[in-house]
Amino acid sequence: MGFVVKKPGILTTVQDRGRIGYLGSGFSPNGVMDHRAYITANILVENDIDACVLEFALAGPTLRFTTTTFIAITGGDFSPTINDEPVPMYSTLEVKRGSILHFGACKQGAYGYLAIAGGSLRVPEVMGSRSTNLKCEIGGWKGRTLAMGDYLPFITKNTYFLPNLSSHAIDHDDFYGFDEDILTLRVVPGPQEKAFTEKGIETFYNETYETTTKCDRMGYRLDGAEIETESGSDIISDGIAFGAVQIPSHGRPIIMLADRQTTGGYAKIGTVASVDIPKLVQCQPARKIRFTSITVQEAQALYRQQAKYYRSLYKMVRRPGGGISPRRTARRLTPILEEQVRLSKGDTLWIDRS
Amino acid sequence: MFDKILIANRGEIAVRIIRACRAMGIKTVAVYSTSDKQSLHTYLADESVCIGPPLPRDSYLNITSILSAAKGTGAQAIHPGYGFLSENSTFAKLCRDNNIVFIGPSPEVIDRMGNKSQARKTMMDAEIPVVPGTKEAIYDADHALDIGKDIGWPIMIKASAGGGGKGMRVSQNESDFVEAFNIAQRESMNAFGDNTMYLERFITNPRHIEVQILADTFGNVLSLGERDCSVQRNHQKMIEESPSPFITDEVREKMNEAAVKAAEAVGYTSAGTIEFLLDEDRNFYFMEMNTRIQVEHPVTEMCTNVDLIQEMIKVAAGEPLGFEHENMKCTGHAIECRINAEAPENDFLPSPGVITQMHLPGGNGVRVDTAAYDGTNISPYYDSMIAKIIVHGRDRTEAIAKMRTALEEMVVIGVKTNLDFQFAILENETFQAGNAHTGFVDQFLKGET
Amino acid sequence: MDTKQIEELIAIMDKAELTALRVEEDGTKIELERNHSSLSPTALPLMADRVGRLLAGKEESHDAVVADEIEESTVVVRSPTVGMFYVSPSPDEDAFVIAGQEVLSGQTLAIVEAMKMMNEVTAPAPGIVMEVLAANGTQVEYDQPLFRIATSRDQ
Repeated sequence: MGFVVKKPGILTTVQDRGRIGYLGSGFSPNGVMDHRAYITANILVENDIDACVLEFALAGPTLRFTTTTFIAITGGDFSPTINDEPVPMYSTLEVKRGSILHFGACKQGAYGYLAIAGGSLRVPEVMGSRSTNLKCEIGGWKGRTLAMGDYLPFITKNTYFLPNLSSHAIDHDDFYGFDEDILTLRVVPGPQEKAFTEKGIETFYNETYETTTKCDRMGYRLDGAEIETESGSDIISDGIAFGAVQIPSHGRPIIMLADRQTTGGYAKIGTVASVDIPKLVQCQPARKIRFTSITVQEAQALYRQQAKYYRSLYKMVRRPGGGISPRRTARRLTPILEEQVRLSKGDTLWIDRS
Repeated sequence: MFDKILIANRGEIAVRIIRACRAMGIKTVAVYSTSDKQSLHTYLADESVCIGPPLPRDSYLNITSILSAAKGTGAQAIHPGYGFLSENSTFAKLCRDNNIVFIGPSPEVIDRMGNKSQARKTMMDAEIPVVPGTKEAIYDADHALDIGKDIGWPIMIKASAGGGGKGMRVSQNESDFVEAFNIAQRESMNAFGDNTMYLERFITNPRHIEVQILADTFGNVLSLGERDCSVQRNHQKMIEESPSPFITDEVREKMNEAAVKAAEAVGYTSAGTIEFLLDEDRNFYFMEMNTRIQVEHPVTEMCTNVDLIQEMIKVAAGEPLGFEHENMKCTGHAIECRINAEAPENDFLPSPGVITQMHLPGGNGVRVDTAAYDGTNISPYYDSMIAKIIVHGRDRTEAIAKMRTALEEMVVIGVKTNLDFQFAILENETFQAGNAHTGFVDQFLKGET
Repeated sequence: MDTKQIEELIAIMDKAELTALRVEEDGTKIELERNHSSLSPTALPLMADRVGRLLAGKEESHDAVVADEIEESTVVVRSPTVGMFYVSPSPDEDAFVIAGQEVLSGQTLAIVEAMKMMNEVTAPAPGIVMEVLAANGTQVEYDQPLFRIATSRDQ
């Protein structure tokens, strides 16, 4: 019981939180690009917060489900449909056995996520994670992107053992700022801030940059004003954090993301605060970006606030009585009983027949 | 033992009592209003008498008609069920005057406990803890204000003849007290024709835990355990369970003792319930005594295997209690959910109408008490209860799982119900953890829990 | 079978308030027994055979006095309460009305006694009493049909 890949999409991989703890041995952590969408998807289907999900970019996959289950779709808008009917994102959906889930091209955002209830996909854990390392061809689904004809099994075979999920939903908030002209990202300065002149730093925090088409899972390259260094941007190779802003010799920022190399020899002017990275990864090319600096303490406070938000998501997600009834068996029986009513209309009450 | 009993009630409790009588070989007489002509209870009883038009005051509250029906059919006893005339001492007295046994306590006891301020006084005299408040009745706002200063705010102003949340107001501090008192008193006058008031300290978000009492005419007074009824909305109970997940065994023992003492203090016979309020430190306070069988009695029946209705009938017939009361045990955990014809999304507005089709749950440890069947008309004249679902499991987790399964399956077509709402409460973390106090449902509706 | 004779016997039963009457004459035996149960027509216990027997009993009416004419409109007078149905003011007096009698609007037709309180059953409109539908001295329930009155158009 799982799904069969009819069309694989352009870059569809199995990801989770990332392969943590092996950066020093040369393994990029990989994992999802948009952590917020990832966690939200898992909360919606009541999976563990680090269960794996399907991540897709540019154009999403078309999948046929061989069992009935619940799913949630978050992140970028890929016009999801189930059996050609459009379905909402950020709410838990029931997918019946045999249904076709289709994602098109990306209308808004860049990375989409699909979570499946009951523990998600049954893929082996490699070095503590189910993320895909495409370069090393390990982890996730056979160390590669999905291909046509692949059959990915689920951990839970049917919905009867799942809690009742179909009323789960989250109100859309405008966290990603899709409607804003310019996206502002908060950056913690360093670790090589001293490699840049005062003018260079001023440029970085005051100029508007633009995302280019050269934005992928390794990093996002931005176009814009050149950032001046004291004496070039070469450094002794240093570990690279998620969201680190490298300024190579051409002076334009490149923000290192999930599939980044483990070490790099270019100066890093700062690191994008982890709460803002999801906003960045959902940018399409030619998106205007500005940077603003915050302290480590402020970034940590934001991080704690986000953790609180995730905790409150659990409560927000469950809605009593609104929308689809979560009483699944009753829903299944209701049309049968309604049909009985139609058939027996005009009959006397059973109690009056003698 | 009686030969024939008349059931002065309707709906599921009438069905319940008729079944209990049948099992004891007692003939039954049902009474009904013209709008209840095709009710289940009229078909299950051996005889039935139409006693009036739909309005309760012309039918189920019409003492003359009911007594006349009893005499005409030769019924020797009347079981009043709950609500309607069950706590009406005039009715109980008239039964006695007409040589018909009223299945319940004596009219004097009903009076004593029905007058809430007098009941408080009786309990205080018997050294049973009561909610700090007045001992004597109050009629005057200024006098009340003086006493209020002794009790301390916030204060709950209550009507002595009150019930069902009427004639009650909370005063938060000295400045709003007099106005609140006058409003409550006026409401009491309009609803009950009585302006006697009393005051209690207002406990924030208490737990409402009541103890079931059974007493016979041979001096046996028993407590059959408690029921936690904290899941309520506007003082209407929605879910009840036993035992309470809130109290320790020590508190339980003390509460049972206090309940027995209270019943003995008033010379109680038959089935009754002592209601307590508990604050967050698990101090319990007597609130009131209900001198009747209650809606949620099946919860206790599932835990103790005692048939409360049959025991009431035995006591009324002058027989001793019919079970081994020395070795009575409360086992496992029982939960009851009330299923009503109402629309929770529309402020719980009643949704009367015809239930065209219904599917009821069942299975091991699942009990359904209902008078509804396919085609039942849920009338706007009476309460909107469709059914009570009661489950029993070996522990609370099992009981919740069974109730969840039962609610998940139940279907009612034709009227709106609170099934989805009850189901959502069953799934709620706070409820599952046993932490639901009387403010829980309101918080749940606001999304705060 | 002489139905007129049976009608007379029923009238005798009624006047003398008998529950049973047996007459033997010229080789013909007639037995009449009043259905004495206080079951109202609407009391239908669930068990099938009892229902069947009751339905058979339903067809009889207690004091059937056949009307020889059916008027344009008839009105059924129903019991205002639960109690004992008495056709006369006291046991030793004549009945308030008999079949065929003309009555005026508001005229007392019978009494239903509930807990020592006498409730009068009155005619809602002027007309002629066609049928008395309940037996004297039996328990009647609220809304039970007691009299059928033919209301004539000319008055």
